[in-house]
Amino acid sequence: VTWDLFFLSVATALSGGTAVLIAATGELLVEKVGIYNIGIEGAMVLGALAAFVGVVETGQLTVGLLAGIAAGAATSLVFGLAVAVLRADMIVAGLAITFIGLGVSSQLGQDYARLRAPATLPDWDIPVLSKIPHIGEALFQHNVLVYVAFLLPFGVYFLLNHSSHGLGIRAIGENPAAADALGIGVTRWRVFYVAVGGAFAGLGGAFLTLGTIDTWLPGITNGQGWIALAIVIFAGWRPLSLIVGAYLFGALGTLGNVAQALGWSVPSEFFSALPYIGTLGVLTLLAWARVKRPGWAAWPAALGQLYARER
Amino acid sequence: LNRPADDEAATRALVEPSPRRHRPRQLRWGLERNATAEHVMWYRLVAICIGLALALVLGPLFVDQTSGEIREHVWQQTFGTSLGIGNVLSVATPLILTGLAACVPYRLGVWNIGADGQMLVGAWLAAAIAFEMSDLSGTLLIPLMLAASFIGGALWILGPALARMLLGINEIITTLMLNFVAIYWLIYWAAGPWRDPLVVAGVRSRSLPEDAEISEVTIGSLQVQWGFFLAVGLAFALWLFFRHAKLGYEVSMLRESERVARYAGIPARKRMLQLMLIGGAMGGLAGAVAMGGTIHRYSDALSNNTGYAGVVVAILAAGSELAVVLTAIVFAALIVGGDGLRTAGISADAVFALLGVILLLAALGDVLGRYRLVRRTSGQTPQDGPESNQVAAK
Repeated sequence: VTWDLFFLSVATALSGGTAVLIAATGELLVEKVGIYNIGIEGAMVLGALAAFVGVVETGQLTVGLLAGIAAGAATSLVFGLAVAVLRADMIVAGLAITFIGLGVSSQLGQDYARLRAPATLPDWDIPVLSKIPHIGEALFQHNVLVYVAFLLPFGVYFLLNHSSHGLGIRAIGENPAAADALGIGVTRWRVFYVAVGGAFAGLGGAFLTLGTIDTWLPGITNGQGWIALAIVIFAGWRPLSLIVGAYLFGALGTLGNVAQALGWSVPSEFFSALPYIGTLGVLTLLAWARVKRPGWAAWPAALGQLYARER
Repeated sequence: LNRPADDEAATRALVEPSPRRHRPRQLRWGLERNATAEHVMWYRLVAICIGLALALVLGPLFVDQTSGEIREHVWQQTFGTSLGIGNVLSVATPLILTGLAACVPYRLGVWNIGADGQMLVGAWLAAAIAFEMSDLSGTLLIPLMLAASFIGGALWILGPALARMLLGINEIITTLMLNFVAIYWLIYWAAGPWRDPLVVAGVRSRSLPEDAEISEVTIGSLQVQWGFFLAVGLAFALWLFFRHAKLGYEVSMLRESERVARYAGIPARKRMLQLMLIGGAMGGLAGAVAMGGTIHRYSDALSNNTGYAGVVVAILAAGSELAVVLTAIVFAALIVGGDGLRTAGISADAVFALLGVILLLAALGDVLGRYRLVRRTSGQTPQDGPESNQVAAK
C-alpha cells in the first residue's frame, strides 16, 4: 500500500508543479532581460479564465489554450509597455496588474464558475515507458502539458546559453547600455519577452482550469504566480533548476493526501499551508547559502533597472 | 554613461555638424525629464477621478440597472444617508490601519503586502483573549485585545523583517506568502476549536462575548464605531511623529541618501526593522478593529482583502499618513458601493479591478510628473536625470 501511495503522490506532485513550472519559466525569461514582473499572478488567473471560457464557448481545446496564452500575453503586454517604454515603477505596475487580473477574472468569470469543461487536456501515455509497472504510472501517464512543461526549461536553457539571440537577451539583462551599443533593441526585446512571459503564465493558468480540476473558480491560482516568482529566485536564475523548485512545490502540495491516507492526526490546514511555508523556508536557506558563498547564483546585474537611451 | 557635462558637450561638438550660420536658432517646445516626479498628489487625484469615471461608464455593462439607477443606489449606500456614511466609515476603519501598515515601511522603500495576514493573526490573538478571559469587563478586555492584536501583527512581520535585514530576502514575496499561511491558520481555528456549532457551512467562530464588542459613538444621526477615531488618531500621530521626532528625521535622511545617513551614524537596518514592525502592528490592529467593530466573530469575512487594498491606499497617498485617511475613506466608499451592487451582478472582487486600474494610472502619473514642458533653443538637447527606480534587494 505504501509504495502505491508513493507512486501516486509522485504523479500528483508532477501535475501539481506543472502550472508553476510553466509560469516560472516565463518569468525567468522576463527577468533575464532585466524586468521584474510581479504581475504574473494576474496574467495567470486571466489566462485560466480565458482558456476555460474558450473551451466552454467553442468546445475546442486548441481555442481554449490559445485564448489562455493570448490573455496572459495581453495582460503582461500592458505591464511591459508601462514599464519598458514609459518607465513606470515596476512594483507598482506589477501590483496593479495583479489586482486587475484578479478583479476582472472574478467579475467576468461569474457565470462560468463550477461549470464542467466540455474538453480537457487529454492524457497521453508515452509508448513503452508507460508500461513499466509503477514508474510508468507515476511518470509517463500524464496529460500533454505536463511533458511540455518539463521540456520548456530545457528549451529556454538552449535559447539562453547556446544561441546568439540568447547572448543578446542576457546582455540586455546584464548591461542594457552595452547591449544597446551593440545594436540590440533593448526596449523592443524587453517588451517582447514580458509578453512572452505573460503567454507562459497564461498557459500555466490554462493548465489549472483544463488540466487539473476541469472547471473555473475565482482566484483559482491561489498565489501560484507568486510562488513562481519565488521559484525563479530559488533556481538562482538557472532554467534547469526551475524544474527542481517547481516539483518540490508540487510535492509539498501532495503531503496532505499522504497524511490522510496514512491517517496522521495533523490538521489538514497545516498541509494546505505547507507549500507556502516550504517556499519561505527554501528561500531563506538559499539566501543564507548565498551569504556564505557570495557570487553564487547571481541575478542579472540590471534586474529591476529601467533603461532609456540617453540622447 | 555618466560623463561630465563638459565632456559631453565637447563630444557633441565633434560629432554633430554645427548649425548653419544663416538659419536662426529656433525656439521649440520640448519635454524635459527630471530625476524626481513633481505634482505627484495631483496626478494621483486625477488617477482616482479617472478610475471613478471608468466605473460609472463600465458599471452599467455588468449590472442590470441603468447608470442613473446605479448612481442613485450607490449614493444612497455611501454618502447619501447618515446610515451610509456610518457604513463607509466603519469599512474605512481597518482600511486606514492597513494603509498605515503599508505606508510606514514604505517611508524607507520597504513593501508590506502582508497586512491581510497581519490582520488575521492580530485578530486571532484578540479573539483568543476575548474567548479565554471573557470574565473581564469591557473596559479592560478591549484594550487588552487591541494590545494583543498590535503585538500579533508585529510578530507576523518579524520573520520577513529579519529575513530582509539579515539575509536580504525580498520582503514582497515573504510578506505575501505569509498571507496564505495566515488564511489556513484562520480556517483551522474558526472551523475547528472555536467553531460556531450553529453554523453548518462557512468558516465562522462563535460570537465574541458582548464585552468584546467595540461600541459605537453617536454624533447627531451618525453612528460610528470608536475604532474609526482611533485609526484617524494613529494616522495623525504617526504623521506628526515622522515630521517632528528624531526617528522621523533619520528616516527621511536615510531615504534621501543611505550613504550619507550611514556616515552620520544612523543605523539603517535597525530603522528598517522598526518601521516594518510598526507597519505590522498597524496591520494587526486593523484585524482587531474589524473583528470588534463590525464582524464580532473570528471568521473568513474578516480580512476581505483589506490588506491588499491598504497597499493601494498607501501608494496613492504618496507616503503621507494624513492622505492615507482620506484615500481610505474614498476607497471604502468604492467597496461599500460595490458590495451594494452584489445582488445586481457585481462580483465580490470586482472592486479590485478598479483599484488596480487606479494604481496603474497612478504609476503612469508618476511618469508624467517627471516630465516638464520647456521651451528651448534648437541647440539644446534634453537630458535624462539619474534613475532611482531599482529593486533594492532580492
